[in-house]
Amino acid sequence: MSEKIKILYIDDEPDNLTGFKANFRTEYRVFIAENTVLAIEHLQKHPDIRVIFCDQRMPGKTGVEFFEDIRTVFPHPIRILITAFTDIEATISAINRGNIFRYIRKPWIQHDIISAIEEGNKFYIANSMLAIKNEELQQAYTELDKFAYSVSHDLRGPLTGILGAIDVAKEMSDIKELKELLVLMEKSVFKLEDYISSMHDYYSSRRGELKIVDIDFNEVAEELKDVYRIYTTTNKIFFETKINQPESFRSDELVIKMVLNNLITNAIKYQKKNFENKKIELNISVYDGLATILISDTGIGIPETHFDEIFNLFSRATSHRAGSGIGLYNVKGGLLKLGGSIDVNSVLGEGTVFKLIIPSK
Amino acid sequence: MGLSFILIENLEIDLYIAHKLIKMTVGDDVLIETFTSAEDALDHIAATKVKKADRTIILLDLMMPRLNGADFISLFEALPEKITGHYQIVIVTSSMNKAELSRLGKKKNVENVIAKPLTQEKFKAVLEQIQIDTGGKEM
Repeated sequence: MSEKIKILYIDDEPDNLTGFKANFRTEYRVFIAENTVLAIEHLQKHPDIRVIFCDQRMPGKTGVEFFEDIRTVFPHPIRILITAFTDIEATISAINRGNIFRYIRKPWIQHDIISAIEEGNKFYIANSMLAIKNEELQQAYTELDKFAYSVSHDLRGPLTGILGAIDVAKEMSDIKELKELLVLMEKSVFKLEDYISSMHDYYSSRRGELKIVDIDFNEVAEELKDVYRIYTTTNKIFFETKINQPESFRSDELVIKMVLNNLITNAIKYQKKNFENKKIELNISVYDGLATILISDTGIGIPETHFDEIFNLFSRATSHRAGSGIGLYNVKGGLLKLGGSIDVNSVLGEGTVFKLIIPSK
Repeated sequence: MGLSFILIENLEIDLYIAHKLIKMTVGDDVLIETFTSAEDALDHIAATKVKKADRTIILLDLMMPRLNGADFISLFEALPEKITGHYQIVIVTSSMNKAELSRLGKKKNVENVIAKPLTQEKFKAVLEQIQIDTGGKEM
């Protein structure tokens, strides 16, 4: 273990305090307090104190009363009472009410204290793990709720659109009009397809383990250019890549590609409609184990008020074009897994720049 | 009688369908204005001078980015009654949130709620209901 476990001992007799500290200071980080006021100061300053020992018989407040008081304010530390035989009734009722974890008989022997700390610490760790798992579970539930909500819009939306189109098509006889409708139906199908594949990204980027390999950004950029050639030529977008990688870089290739794919797809999707000099620039430089990636476009831009929320699940900054609201969320999640970060800068009507910093693993 | 339509819908295909259905049902020369953003529609409504006999039916989608349908209704309700009195809102949605839909359905300016997909049959039924309703009140 890298860091000593922090413990707190409260007793109104200074001799006991010094004796306790002398006995355990090599094994643990020991805080001592002559009264409950000082004890609370320690707890406030060191919220990571794991085990508290408190003498039962003290002037003013008994140990049981003290533990009852702090239980709600400092619920995490394990509470252990040090007590003589005569206080056994109070002790038993305190244990039964859940205010103390266990008790140690006075005069204590070193072995009892050590075993109490070890047991208490195990319990503390189990509790903390539980709290972390709980929080993760809570987040998963929140996301599930959002999914349930979005399913009715993002999955049913295009579907009902197609159904409606079929209904109208039955009444139409003009081939030209029917073809127009087919194009719209096709778009709806693509939208569904897009949504399902980003849901797949979502799960693989959340649940999957990282697979760290050597990454050649020149290769990655060439591949991206190939993949997007169809879109960039039909939309007359100039796609430029500038790669400067003098050193090796290690990371998860799939996650990196997922991130870049999402950002470049966006850069293509959100270009201004009737603009002459459409351009996307991908700039990657690797230095001192850090890859800095800039993706800039000449698109419609993002209002500054939306900078913070665009990375949230199902957030959409624009009403004009269709997005699933999952893409940038996946980007952020992927970068988080790689230990990287993302920043956005944009001028409405001018374009957007995403800046990514990813450390080599 | 000055009947016209406003469509507020961010999905292209649904906009197209609604447009087509109105023309097929009401006639080719009816005035239809379309908005892909509820904000723009609201600005337009607030700025439009209405004549006494004008009646406009708003087909409103609920789930739209930025200003959604429910928020649109709240902002619409805040407009002066001499404007809002000329409009009747019909919600067209794929939402399955029954509580929300019944809450919105009870609003003063909301005439009806249609579950997507919008079909000729559903559209005709709503149109008949609206005409009977208002016809009864005004005459």
